[in-house]
Formats: sequence, C-alpha cells, structure tokens
Amino acid sequence: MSTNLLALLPELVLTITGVLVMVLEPVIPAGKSRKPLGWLAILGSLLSGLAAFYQLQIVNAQGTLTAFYSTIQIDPFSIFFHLLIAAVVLVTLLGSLDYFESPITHAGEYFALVLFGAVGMMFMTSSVELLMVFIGLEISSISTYILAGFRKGRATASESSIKYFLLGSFATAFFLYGVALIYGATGSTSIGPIAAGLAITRTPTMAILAVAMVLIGLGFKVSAAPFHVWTPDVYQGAPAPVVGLMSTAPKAAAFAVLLRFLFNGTPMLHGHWILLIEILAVASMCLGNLGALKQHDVKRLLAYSSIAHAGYLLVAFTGTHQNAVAGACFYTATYAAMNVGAFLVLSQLSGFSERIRSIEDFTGLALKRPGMSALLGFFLLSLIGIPFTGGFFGKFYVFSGALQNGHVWLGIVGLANSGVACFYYLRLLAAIYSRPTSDSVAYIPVRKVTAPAAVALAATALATLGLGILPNKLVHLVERATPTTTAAVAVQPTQQ
Amino acid sequence: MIHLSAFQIFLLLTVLKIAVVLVITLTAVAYTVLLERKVLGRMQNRWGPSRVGPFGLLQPLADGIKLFLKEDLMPLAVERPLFVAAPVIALACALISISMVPFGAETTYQGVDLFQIANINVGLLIILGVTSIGVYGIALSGWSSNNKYSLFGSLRSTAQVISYELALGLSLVGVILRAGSLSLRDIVNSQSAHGARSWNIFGGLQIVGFFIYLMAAYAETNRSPFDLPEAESELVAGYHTEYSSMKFAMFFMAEYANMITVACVATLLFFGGASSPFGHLTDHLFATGFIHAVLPIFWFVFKVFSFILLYIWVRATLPRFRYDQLMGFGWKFLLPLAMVNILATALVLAFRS
Amino acid sequence: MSLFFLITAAIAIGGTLAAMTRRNPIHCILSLALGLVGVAGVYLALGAQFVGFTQILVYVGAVAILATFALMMTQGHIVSALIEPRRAFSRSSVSGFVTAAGVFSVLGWAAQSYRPLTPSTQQAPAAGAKEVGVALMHTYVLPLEVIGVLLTAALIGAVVIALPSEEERS
Repeated sequence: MSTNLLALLPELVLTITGVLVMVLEPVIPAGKSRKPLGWLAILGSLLSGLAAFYQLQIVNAQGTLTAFYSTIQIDPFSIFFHLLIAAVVLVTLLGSLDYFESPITHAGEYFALVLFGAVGMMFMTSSVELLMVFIGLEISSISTYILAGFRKGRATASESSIKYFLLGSFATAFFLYGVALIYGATGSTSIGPIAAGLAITRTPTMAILAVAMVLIGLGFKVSAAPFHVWTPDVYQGAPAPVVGLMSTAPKAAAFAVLLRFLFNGTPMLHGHWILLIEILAVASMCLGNLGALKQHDVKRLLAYSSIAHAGYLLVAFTGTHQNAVAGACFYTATYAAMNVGAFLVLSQLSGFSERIRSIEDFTGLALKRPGMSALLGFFLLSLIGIPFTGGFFGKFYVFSGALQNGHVWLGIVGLANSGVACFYYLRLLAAIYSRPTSDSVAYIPVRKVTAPAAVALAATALATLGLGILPNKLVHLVERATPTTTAAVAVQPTQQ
Repeated sequence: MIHLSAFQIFLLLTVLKIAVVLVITLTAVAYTVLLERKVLGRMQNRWGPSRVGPFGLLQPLADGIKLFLKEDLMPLAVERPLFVAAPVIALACALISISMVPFGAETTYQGVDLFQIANINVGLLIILGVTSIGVYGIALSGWSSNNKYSLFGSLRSTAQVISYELALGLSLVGVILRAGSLSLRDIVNSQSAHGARSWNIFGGLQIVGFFIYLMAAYAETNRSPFDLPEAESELVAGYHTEYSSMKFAMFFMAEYANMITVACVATLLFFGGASSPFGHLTDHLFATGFIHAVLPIFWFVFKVFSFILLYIWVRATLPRFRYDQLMGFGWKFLLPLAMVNILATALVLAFRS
Repeated sequence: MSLFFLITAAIAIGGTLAAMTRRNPIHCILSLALGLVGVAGVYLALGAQFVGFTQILVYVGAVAILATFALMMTQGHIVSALIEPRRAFSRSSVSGFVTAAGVFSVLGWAAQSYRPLTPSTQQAPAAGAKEVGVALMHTYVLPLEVIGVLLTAALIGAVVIALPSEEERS
C-alpha cells in the first residue's frame, strides 16, 4: 500500500461508507426503515477505527508518515484523535439508530452527514497544512450546522441551526483571516515552514495578529468564552445525540489543531499566546460555571458545563509541551466519554420529540427509570470530577501540568470553579432522586432501551469508569503522542 | 507627417478599431433583426417587411428612428437608479465581449494587431466572465420594475442563464484542453493546420462539446426554444415589460449582440475562427496583398452568419420548452454530458501524448 | 501606487462598505458584487489576469447573482421594511466601529513595519492558468480532492433543508 493511501486510510473508509450510504438510500423504498444504512455507517466507523489502529502499528514500526507533499502527517498524536473521533462517531451512531421515530426524517442523510463530518474532523487532526485544516474545519462545521437543525419544523431547531451557521461561518472567516495573515508573515501555510519563518523574521507583529485570529476562530469552535454565546441556544435546539457528537468530536479536532499550531507552528510566540490562552481559560471556566447555575433546561445546563470544560482544557495549554499534549489528550478523551454518555441518556429518556427538558421534568426520575438515572448520575459525578471517574484524572492531569509550569493562580481559579460546578450538577442529581411531583416525568411513557443504544451506553460508562480506575493505560499512549516538530521538512523551499 | 510614439499609435489604432467594430456590430445587430424577420417570414410562407426601401432594407433605420422618438415612460413605482442601470449593464456586457474576438488572421501594423481589439491570454475567460455579469441586467430590470410579470420573467431568465452557464462553460473545457490555452488566438491557431479537417468539431472530436455549447448558448441568449422569459402568453413581455423607447431598444440590441457574440465564439472555438476550410490548399492563389488579408474576414463573417441563420431556423421550427423540462434538460442531461465529454477528451489527450 | 490600483481599491472598499451599511438587501448584495469587482481589479493591477477574471466569473457572475436571485425569489426587499432603522450612534455600531478601527490600525501598523524574509527583488510569481493548474495538481492535490467531500456534505445538507419531511407534508 502506498504511503499516500495508508496515511488517508481512516478518512477513506469513512468517505466511501458515506457515499455508499447515500447511494443505497434511494434503493430502499420510501417509507421503509433506514436502519440498514445506520448499520452500514456503524460498520464504516468501526472499520475506520481499525484502520487508525493499523496505522498506529505502522507508525510504531516505521516512524511518522508524511503524505501528499507533506500536507498530511500521521503520528501517534493524530492517530490518537482519529481513534477518539471514530469512537465518538461509533457510539453516536449506535445511540441514534433508533432515535428517529418515523422512517422518513431524512435518516439516511443523517448517517451520511455524521460520517462526512467525521472525515472533516479527522483531516483537521492529521494535516499540518493550514489550508487543509480549513477545509476539514468547513466539512465538519457544515455537517454539524445541518445536523443541529435536524428536528425540522420546531422553532428551537431552526434557531439552533441558523445561529450555529451564522456565527460559525463568521468564526471560520476569522480562522481564514488568521491563515492569510500568517501566510503574509512567513510565506507559508504549512506548520513546519511557519515555525522556520517565524524563527528568522524580525517583525513578528503580523504573526501575533494571525495567531490571535486563529485563536478567535478555533475558540468559537471549542466554545471558549467570550466566543461561547451560541452554545446554549444551539445545544438546546439540536437533537440530543447530535449534541453529544458536536460537543466532543469537533472540539477534540479543534483542540488538536490548536495544539499543533501553537506548539509546533508558533513556539517562537509562546510568550504572547500563552497570555491569550490564560484569558480564554479563566473566562470560559468562570462564565461557563456561573452561567450554568441559572439554567433550568438540562441541555442548556450541559451546554454551559461544556463551556466550562473547554476552559479546563485550555488550562492544559499552559503546561510544558509534553504536559500540555498529554493533559489535553487525556481530558478530551474523558470528556468525550462522559459527555457523549450524558447526552445519550438524555436522548434515550426523551426521544426525538424531547418532551422532557427542564430540571423539574426530571424530578423523581429515579423511581421510574432507576437504571438510566444511575447512569446519568454517574456521568454527572464524572463531570464534577469525583475520584474513580475519568473526570477526576482529567482535571488532575490538567491542573498538575499547569501548576508544574508555575501557573499557580490558574490552578486555584480552576479548582474554585470545580467547586462551583458541583452545585448545579448536584442540583440536577438531587432532582432525579427526589420525590416525583404531580406533573413530572412519572407520567410520561417509558421508552424501551434498544440493544444498540444499550451497547453505546455501556461503552461510554465503561470508558468513563475505566479512565477513572486505570488511567495509566491511556496516559502511556498519550504521553508518546507529543507531535515532533517538523523542522526537517521545514526548510525545504515551497517552490517547485 | 507628425511623428507619433509607439504608444500613441497603439492608442490611436485601438480607438479606431473600437469605433469600427462598434459600428459594424451595431449595424449587424440591426440587420440581423431584419434578416430574422425576413427569413421567418419566408419560412412561414409570408413576405416579412418589404415596404421600407428596396426589399425592406431600410426597415431597421425606420425602427431605430421610431424607438428614438418614442416617449420614454418611467413608471412611478420603479427603483429608479437600477431601472436605468439595468439595460446599460445588459448592452455593455454584450458589447464588451466582442472586443476579445479575433476577426481575421493575425495582421500587424506597427506592432498592433489590426483584426482584434485586445489579444489577452485569458480571452475566453473574459468572455465568460463578462457574459455572466450580463445576467445582472436581466435580474435587476425585473426586480426594479416593481411589476409581477417583470419579476417572474427575470426570475425565470436568471435561473435559466445561471443553470446553463455551467454546461456552457464545461462544454468549452474540451477545446481549452486541446489548445492548452485560454487565448482565443491560440485556440484558433490550434485548429488552422489542415483546414476543416483540423477544426475542433471534426478533427478535434469535440462534436459533443459543440452541441452542448449550441444548446446552452441558445438558453443563455434566451432564444427559442428556450425563450421562456419572454413567453408572451404567460408573462406579457417578461423582464422588459415596463421598458419603452431607447431603454427597450437597448435590451433588444443586447439580445442580438449576445447572439452575435455567441455565434462568434462558436466559430472561434469549434469552426476554426477566421481560418479557411480549405486549409493551405488555396494559399497559392492569394499569396499576398489585400485579398490575403481580407479573405479570412470573409470566412469568419460567413461562419458567423451561418450560425445566425441556424438560430433563426431553430426559432421557426421548434416549440417552446416547458419550464421544468428546461431545468431538467440543463441539469440532468447537458451538465453530466459535458462532464463526460471533458473526461473523454482528457483521456484521449493523455493517451496520445 | 498606480492610479489604477487606487481606483480599484476605492471601488473594493466603497462597495463592501455600502454592502454593510445599506438597508435594502438587494442593494447590499449589489454593492458586494461591486466590491468583488474591485477586488478583481486589484488582482488585475497585480498582473494576475487569470485570478482576476476567475474572481469575476465565480464571485460576481455566480455567487453574488445567486444571492440576488434568492433575495428576489424570497422578496427580501419586504424584510427590509420590517427592520428598525439603525441609529448611527447606537451601542452596537459604536463598539463595532471601535473594535474594527483597533484591529485595522494594528493590522496597518503591522503591514507598515513588515520586512519580508527574502528581499523582494525577484519577479512577481506567475499566476497564469498553467501555474494554478500545476499547483492544484501537485502541492494542493489533496485539498482539491477533499473539497469534493465538502461539496457533497453541503449538497446533502441543502437537500435536507429543502426537502420537506413527511410530518411537514402532512
């Protein structure tokens, strides 16, 4: 197999599956269930994960792969994110297989869009060429814009989709502006040559501006404050499984881009961007947690919580290069496990119509659905960061990395915020385990949890638990993931 | 004689060329209208205009005077600046594209090409670009008229033009691939080696491309059988319902100027432009002198007018499309066919080289 | 700076400014088209004919006209009557103006103080059809191909938005 093919294997598998889904969609007669397409998509994401695993074996044996005129770089770092994205997509697809109530809600298109979005996210993590990153970002963004509005005909869904689209395109424009400026400053859009160009430039002002623009663009994608205003509205209107996907996988990809861009592309400007990162981190943690305190809608509450978690993740960036990558990777993985899990529970509870939404609706849920309540409680505890859950070790690595590098006050702010966060998570938990009131969930019919959804729930729960009990396994993998600086290819001229 | 610098000569000759081409084009437009009415008349077994001048030859003049002298009505509810700008945009775009067309063989005087206003190496791209701006004229006229018939006419027309622009552009890619250049002069030269045998439509195997181009071009110029924007039975007069006098005349001229441009482009891209169909067989007859320079122009004009006759013939023969058929034809048939044509041409070229 | 550059730059800036400030959406999109023509003019001033005319063909002749078409179709001009007239010194416009002025003054300062890595005595790089084609087929072949995935996803999305689902039909 040629290097080019090998380097793109997971993306290729997903793309082909997505195209197959769309080709087979019209073959299935109208009115019939689209579930076979869902199974095909699940198979595709599984194969894609296996392909990423295969790449890992190759990279272990032969070292980093570069392909397509050093546009793509496959190293343990990108493979980690490929595996993570494939896993999130797999779990999301399993969980949403029985999500569509009527057979005609564009289920085929739903599966295809999830797959194509995943292709974009994977390209974001594996490419070292900012142009390619931008295209990946666009693919993942466009797919999620559409997915956010999938519950068509409902006002909140349209609001969600259009808000996400307008603000998202604005943010993407900022990213692109940043890329254009950095091309002006260094004469290249590739990570390696950018670093090489910045090392010898005498006027880095333009590059600093470029980094700021890129931070704005990606800050929006990871919903870091002050670019977070869209998050609650979008998450509220989007279908629950989609929120599980879009609050984790695209964010993981955007964090991967940030890690690569900041640590490998612009290490010369470390002193400048570290300040911006600190501001973003503090603002996200504080605004996210304080905003969540006032929420009644559970999805909005989790949206604010995801803003806060983006803040915790940004704290990881203040560590040394190795600590930052390890901490951020570990945190993304645990956050993906627990957040996807929480939203899966929500989607299983309330279904496509989402009649159960506010905290009051959840009052006394434990009587009716003890299993689901226990799972949701477990995920909430993990989001708080209780020991023996993945969330605990995630926070532990992030904050210890920051403290080791001398950012004591950032650690203090983070820990204080974790304390505040306890309050609103526990408020939801308390509602679930309190006595049902007359108009609460007890009167809403029980939906049966189907086998695929049960598998998905079990997988997320096990992952959260496993990361809490045996974090060493992942830490070992993650610590190798620090991407090597591509100084060797950096100096080669871009002209042919 | 006053001594002129090279730039002054260039400027003078260019202005002269523009003036000559403009006069010829506008006259050609006027007489194309007459030709259309005459030929249509004969095809429908009637005489056509025959009263003004010998054989009705002064009819365009009379029409022109009539349009000049008519009252220029401006309805109260129109969006004034755009209403005025729309016909100007339409006519200007139709005329600008003519400036790229090489009318004859390359004949230079003091370094200035006499038979082409501007030889730019992306000439074809400019023609496509300028034509695509011409849509604004139609779109704005309908919108600014503040009249439902106008709006519907311009919506139809805009949708139609945008849709067929894709097929039109793609149908030319085969020709560009063969010539390896976007310059119209290079494209003509690439097919002038052996007369008609090396024209793109025959030797270049671009016959599919040519027919796609022809059909897309009819749609682009809103001509029958694609003249839905002006379907009288449904839309009064389409986008120019509210226009009168010279503003109407400008739309009218733009339509016919577009026809001429499209015919010119078809001649240049598929029929060897100003080159003779007999190749170099007849060269020894007119090796030098005036005829040698003028004969290519004759061939060019001959080919262009053949296309215009074809236009008229088609108009007299074919009924109008239904709107959904029109869209289906453009998107589901012409566009895929154009892509297949590109693929086939590229493959053949790749295997030959 | 040549006169041609100044004119085209003025068109570009004026057009885009009008696109932001006009209230009638059709006027906005037309001003934007004018601004794009100005940008194409800047390309031409730099000697990049292919890029310039592609800009006109794609952005003015296709993208902007589609937007115009959509506005005409949906009667966007009626919407403008519903929007409250904007006051010149409202909080949002002042803060937006201050932010923009800050960003652009820093940008201008950065561009002014910018010294290129290599002395710019070399000729401007050729940007003809051939060079663009070669770059797309070599260095940027992967982005070019992946844009196919992007367009497919966007098309599917458009279908999802446009096609009514069963519950909407009934």
